[in-house]
Amino acid sequence: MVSFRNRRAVIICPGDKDCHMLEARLTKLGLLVQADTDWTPLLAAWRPDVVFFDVDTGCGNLSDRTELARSIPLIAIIGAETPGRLEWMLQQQPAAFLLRPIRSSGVYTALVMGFHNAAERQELLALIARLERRDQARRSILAASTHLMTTYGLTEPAAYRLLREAAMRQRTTIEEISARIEADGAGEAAALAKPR
Amino acid sequence: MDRNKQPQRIKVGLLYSQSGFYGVVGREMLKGALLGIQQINATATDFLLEPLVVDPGGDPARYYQCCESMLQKDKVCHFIGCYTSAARRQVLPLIEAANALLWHAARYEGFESSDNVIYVGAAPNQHIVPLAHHMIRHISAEAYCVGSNYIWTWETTRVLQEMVSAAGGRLLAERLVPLGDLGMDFIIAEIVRLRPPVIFNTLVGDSAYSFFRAYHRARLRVNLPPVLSCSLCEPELHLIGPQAAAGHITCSPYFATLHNDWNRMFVERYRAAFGPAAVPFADAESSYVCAMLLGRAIQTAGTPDAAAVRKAVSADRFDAPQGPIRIDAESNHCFVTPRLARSTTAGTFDVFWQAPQPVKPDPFLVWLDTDQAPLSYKRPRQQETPRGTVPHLRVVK
Repeated sequence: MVSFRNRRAVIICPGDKDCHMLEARLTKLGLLVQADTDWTPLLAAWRPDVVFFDVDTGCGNLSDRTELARSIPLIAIIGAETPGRLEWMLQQQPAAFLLRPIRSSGVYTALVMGFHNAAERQELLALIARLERRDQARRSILAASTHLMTTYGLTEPAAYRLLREAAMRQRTTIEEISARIEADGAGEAAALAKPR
Repeated sequence: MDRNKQPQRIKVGLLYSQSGFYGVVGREMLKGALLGIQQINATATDFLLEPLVVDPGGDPARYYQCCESMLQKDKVCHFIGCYTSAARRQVLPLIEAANALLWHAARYEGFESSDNVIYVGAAPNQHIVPLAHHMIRHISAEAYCVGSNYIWTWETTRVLQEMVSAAGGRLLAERLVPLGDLGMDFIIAEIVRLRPPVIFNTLVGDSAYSFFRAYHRARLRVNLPPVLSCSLCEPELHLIGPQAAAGHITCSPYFATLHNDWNRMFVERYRAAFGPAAVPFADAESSYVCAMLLGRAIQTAGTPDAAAVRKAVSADRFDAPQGPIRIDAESNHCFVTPRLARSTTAGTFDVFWQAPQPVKPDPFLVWLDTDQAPLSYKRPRQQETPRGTVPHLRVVK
C-alpha cells in the first residue's frame, strides 16, 4: 500500500480551478502542498518530493528542471493535447501526467506512477553511471597493464598482479593505481616496479 | 387557447465575451449568432430559439461559471460561443458531462474532437496549411515569423516549420511577443536588417495593429514584402488604418466581398440589423452559420435533444454565405472552402484563390503530407538571402 503521507508537493500553475482541485486532492492524500505561479528559490529550499507543472501556459521558470527531474518526479498537467505543447512537456522529462479537468480520480494514479518512474529512472541513471565508471576503469587498467608489459617485458597476469599488489600496499583500488599510471606513465610505473 | 399550438421555446446559451481584451470580436460574433437565431425564428413553425446572452469578459473561469449556471438553472442544451481555446477547454467538461452541444464558430489550432462540440470554424488544414502552401509555392520557403506568445502561435508555427523544412526552406526567426504587447521596434528593426522574403504573422489584437502600423512606416523607407496572416479580418483593417492594412495576404473561408447570392443576402440582413456601416467578417459569419445549422437541425430532428440534433446536422447541406458547407460526422468539424485574399485600402479583401471544392476537415492533421509540399520551391539566390547567419531562435519557454 503506497502512502504519500507528509510528502511535499509543489504545484506550479496559474492558480485556476484545476489547481485548487489538485491541491485539495493532494491534501486528502496526506501530502503537504504549496502552490505558486512560479518556481522560486523558496520553494526549492523547501525541498519538495514531487513537482506538478502546467503544460498549457508553461508558467514557472523551472530552469533547473533537468536536475530536478533526475532526483524527484515531475508531473505534467495537460490541457491542450497539441503536438507543440506535448513536445515542450517531454522536454521537462515528466515521470507522469494528469489531464485537465482534474477530477477526483486520477491524481493518486499519477502520484504512484510518477514516484515509481522517477525511482526507476534514478536507478537506471545510477546503473549507467556505475557501468560508465567500470568501463572507464577497465580501459585504464588495460592501459596500465600494457604499459607495464611493454616497459618491463611482463606477461599480462604478471602485470595485473603487480598492479593488484601495489594497490593493496597503498591501500587503494586497482583502478586508482591504474589511473595514476595512465596520468604519469613512467614515474609511477617505475615506483611500482621497484622491488621493495 | 390550445397549448399544443404554442411553439416550444428552446434556450440557446450565447457564450461570447463582449468585454475584455477580445471584446471587439466577441460583440461581432454575438451579432452573427443573434442574426441567425432571428432568421430561424422567422421561419420555424413549432419552436422558437430563445437566446440567453452572458458576458464572460474574456476570463476563462467566468466561462465556466456562466456555462455551469446556464446548464443547471436554465437547463440549456445548446450553446453557441467561445473564441479562445482556453475558454472552450473550460466549458468542454461541463458540456460533455451534461451531454449538451457547443456550436463553436472560431477557427482554432486543431487537435481536439469532442462528440459534444460542432466545430464550424476552420480546422488547421483549412487555414494554416493553404496559406503556408501559397507562401512556399509563390513567395518563399524562408519566412520570418512574428506572433503573440500563446498556443495558437506555437501550433501554427510548428506546422509552418514542418512544411518549410519539407520544402527545403527554414524559419529565419521566430519572434514571440507577450499578448497585448505593443512594442514592435525591435522586430521592425530586425526585419529591416534581415530583409526576409516573407513575413508570417500570428500576432493578435492590439499587438497585430501596432505591428502593421510600424511595418507600414518602415515600408515607406525600404522595400519590404507583404505580411501573411491567418486571422486578419475586415474590422481589423479599419482599426489598423487603410494604408497600413493594405496589400497583405490572409486565409479564411469567408470574406465579406464574396460574390454569391447567399452572401449578398447575408450582408444585407446584417446591415439591416446592425447599421449600414456594419461589415460581417469570418467569425461573425461562422457564428451565424452555427445558429442556422442548429435551427435547421432542430427542425429536422423534431427535438432539441443533443444526439438527435447531432445526427440531423451531419446530414444537412447548407448554403452558407461562404458557400456550401456541411458537417463531417466523423470529426464534427465543418467542410469549408479555404480562400486566400489580399487586403485593399478600402478595408476589404480581394479573393485571389479558392480551393476547387469544400475541403474535408482534418483537425489532427493526419493527412498532411509534408513530403507532398511544393517540390518546385528553389532556394533564393545569394543576394536575396539575408546577410550572415541568422540564429533560429525559439523563444518558446
